[in-house]
Amino acid sequence: MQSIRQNITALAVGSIIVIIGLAAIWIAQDYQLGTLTRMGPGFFPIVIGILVVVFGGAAVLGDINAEKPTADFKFRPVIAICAGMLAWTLLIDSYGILPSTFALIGISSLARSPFRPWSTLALCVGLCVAGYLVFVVGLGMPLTLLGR
Amino acid sequence: MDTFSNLALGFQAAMSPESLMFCLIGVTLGTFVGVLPGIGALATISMCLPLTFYLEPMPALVMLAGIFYGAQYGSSTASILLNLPGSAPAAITCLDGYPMAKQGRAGVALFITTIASFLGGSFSILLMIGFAPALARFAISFSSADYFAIMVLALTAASTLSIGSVTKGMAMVALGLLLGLVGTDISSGAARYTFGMIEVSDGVSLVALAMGLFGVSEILTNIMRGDVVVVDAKSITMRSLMPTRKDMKRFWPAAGRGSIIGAIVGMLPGTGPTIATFMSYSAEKRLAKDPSIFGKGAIEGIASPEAANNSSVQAAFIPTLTLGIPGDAIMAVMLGGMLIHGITPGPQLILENPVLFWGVIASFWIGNVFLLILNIPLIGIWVRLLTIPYHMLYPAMLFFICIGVYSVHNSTFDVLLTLIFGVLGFALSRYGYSPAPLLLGFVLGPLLEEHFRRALVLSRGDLSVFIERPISLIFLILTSVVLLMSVGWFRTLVGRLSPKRLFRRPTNE
Repeated sequence: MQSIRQNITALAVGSIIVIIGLAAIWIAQDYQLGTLTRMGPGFFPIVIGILVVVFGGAAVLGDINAEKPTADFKFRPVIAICAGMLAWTLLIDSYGILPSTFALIGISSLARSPFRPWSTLALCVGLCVAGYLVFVVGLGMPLTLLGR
Repeated sequence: MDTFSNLALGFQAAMSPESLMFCLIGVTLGTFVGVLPGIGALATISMCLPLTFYLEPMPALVMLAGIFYGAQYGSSTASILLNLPGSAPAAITCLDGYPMAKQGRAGVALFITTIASFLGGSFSILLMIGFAPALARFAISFSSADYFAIMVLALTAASTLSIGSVTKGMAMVALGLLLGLVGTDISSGAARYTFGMIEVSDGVSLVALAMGLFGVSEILTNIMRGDVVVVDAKSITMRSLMPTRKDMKRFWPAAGRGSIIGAIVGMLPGTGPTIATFMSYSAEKRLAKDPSIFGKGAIEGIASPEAANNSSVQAAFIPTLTLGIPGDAIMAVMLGGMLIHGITPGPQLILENPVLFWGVIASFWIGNVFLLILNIPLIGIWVRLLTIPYHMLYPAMLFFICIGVYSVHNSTFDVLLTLIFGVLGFALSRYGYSPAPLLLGFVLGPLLEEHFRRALVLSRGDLSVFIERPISLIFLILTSVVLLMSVGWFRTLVGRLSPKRLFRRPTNE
């Protein structure tokens, strides 16, 4: 049962590539194809799209007896890291380095248990100082510690 | 004679305080990330790429290159002490390095790998000095059809010679080529695959792609894998480093062979240091009078792959600098970095910008000397680095990834893109789709299309141009050879040495 589920995930991941390839060919139909002598912008995308579909399809077929990945999949790290980075992008422009970094480090630290509040806090402070010195003072990036 | 005056020019440029400083920063940073498992040279180079926009091209290139070869020095440390490669090419060093550590000879193993690295690196630098100008002179006559054929070989080799499924490698290369098409078409000005987003009209950001595929995705993979073993840092003293005379007698020929294999593999398009280390290890095993010593702490088993590793890393600069065609993903990022700095690598570079070309080569040597100093007397510091817990490391990496990507265009769009590529890369690499060929395809994609179009314009649409020109024909034949090899003996060879089997095998007996 486990191995069948594992196989389906492997096939689904491979199918993403095939779907991207098909979408690329479909979109490229709107671009001018041109001739071999004077190629339009659509020629290469269609060729590459076909290659993606062919190789991706072959890879999916070869995966029918796929091996199980070495590590177990856990949702928690993926969610914590995505949420952390999302929070950073939402906060950085209008609130500055301090809140965005605290959000990023705080949330992404939840990816692994146990959560260590003190070392996480120390890390936040250290990174804010280092980031501010390197990127704002050193390189002159238009960012502030706090606010706009 | 000419070479010497050029080299003198190069050393003059490389000895400037600024170049020396950035060389030292580069190799130190390289060793740092090389030692730590879970941060690769590629992620670090892409993290530092935006920082170098503020530098002159020369120190920027010197620093980025320093990270690359510095990481190869550092990567053997974790292999030896933890049986965990600091980066992919050092996987093979685990085979004999870790048994040596178990026998209490970790210091000797660390010393041997450093010296082997230095020898391998120096060998290829010498080769580069002798060979690169000639190759550049020859490459001036290359036409678009020739360039197209070389790139096809590079892409085919990158996808088939890597470890794992050939079709998966090919699929990733094709996906990379597709991603490379995103943006404005240079010949017609038409926007392709931009979905009306102004942020990608110049194409997908290389930094965002590389950081996603090699930064975020690696972090996710490492967190899933769980905790790392602890290391006894105090056992590595200066005294423990010294090899016996018998060790050294076995060391020299092995390091020499490794250097040569590494240089050849490194120069070929599409092959990286990982393949060089695999090939040199299996060559040693085949040459040995008693192959049974391998896997039990054989000096040859660490000396030859480490020499090959560094030799291939330095040799990889030969095609990148003289032809403008990178051999692997890291070189692709380096090429991207050079283009951002307004340097167009290719046969003209040596003539148009001799100070830069020779300066960078001279800096390699200086950097290798720095690394020798950093890695032998100061090895204790690096070993202690392995005691940094990952729960402190990965949030810090995420922070530098975010702010680094953001700094390129001051745009949060690129950070979101990095996140998407990170999750996608994680899912793909979990199921055996390696991200390295994708990155190579991404960088080579636009060049490939440009040369393909130009070749056909010149031949008036006649496809036979690719087989009528001798150089192009040779490279296309080589491509077919690589394809044939990938289904035959090479696969069994790589299969026999695949890391999965390598780590499953009990290493203590």
